[in-house]
Amino acid sequence: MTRRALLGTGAALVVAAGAAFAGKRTGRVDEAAEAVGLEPRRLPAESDEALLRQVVRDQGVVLATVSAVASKFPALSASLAPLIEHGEAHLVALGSSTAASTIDLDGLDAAEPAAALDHVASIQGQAAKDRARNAINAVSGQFAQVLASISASLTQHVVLLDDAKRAL
Amino acid sequence: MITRSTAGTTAFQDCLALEYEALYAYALIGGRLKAGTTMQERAADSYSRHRGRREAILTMLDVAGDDPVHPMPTYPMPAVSDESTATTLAREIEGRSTAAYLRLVGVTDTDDRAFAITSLSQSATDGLGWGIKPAALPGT
Repeated sequence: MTRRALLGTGAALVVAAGAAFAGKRTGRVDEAAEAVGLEPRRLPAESDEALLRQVVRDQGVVLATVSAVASKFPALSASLAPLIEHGEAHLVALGSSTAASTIDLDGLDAAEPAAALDHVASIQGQAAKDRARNAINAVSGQFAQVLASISASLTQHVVLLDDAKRAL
Repeated sequence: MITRSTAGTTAFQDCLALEYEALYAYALIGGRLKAGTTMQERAADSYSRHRGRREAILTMLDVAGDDPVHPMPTYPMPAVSDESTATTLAREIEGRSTAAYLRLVGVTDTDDRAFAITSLSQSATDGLGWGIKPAALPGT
């Protein structure tokens, strides 16, 4: 059975790759391809599908953590807003939209926003490393691009969080 | 000798050509900024990272037996007269660099792809320093 995915270049690439994976799971690959004006091609290896599921889970936890910290520390909400926006876009690029459910922040003291920023930075930094490693291992070059770009975004977040901490 | 796809070699040559241009741009920027300022130090750091990547690409092409593209004698550049125009040029360089390395990620694997991923993140974070807005998907 032929499996298909989207391949493209430029700005449509990342979104298209994510849509391809989402479409494959729901049988809408061809429609997704046509929607962004790309030629459907063969889907990458099954290892990429397993990797995608793992990355969606991980990024869901990353997003949920930032959202939970923003809720617990309203003073940080402006600093964390772009991270939440990007986290949602990462999931969309991966063909998902669901963050993880409950995140336990009991270890964070509500009076210590700097510690909260450190916590978020640690998670974002680890996720950046993980996505970079995932990108090296991805079979599909297009999927690798999605993962590498997410990794770069997460690395930018660590810089933003450092700036936010210094501004406290 | 390693074997690299034609697309991978072409993308590496594109990145090398861009690194030459970036070095030219940052030499121009550094020369127009006041010595000892944060911005000139940032330009020096950016220059250093682009030089490191240029050297790395030259080595990788050499290992594969590929002839590298050569730098142009000059590059068309906007007038750089102050911090504002310097910043605009630096943003443009880092934005193009981020996009070029994302393309390289897609046509390489193993060590070549690892280099592309690292370079992509470097350009994305260097761009932040020059005032590029953070993005959900840098390079796109």
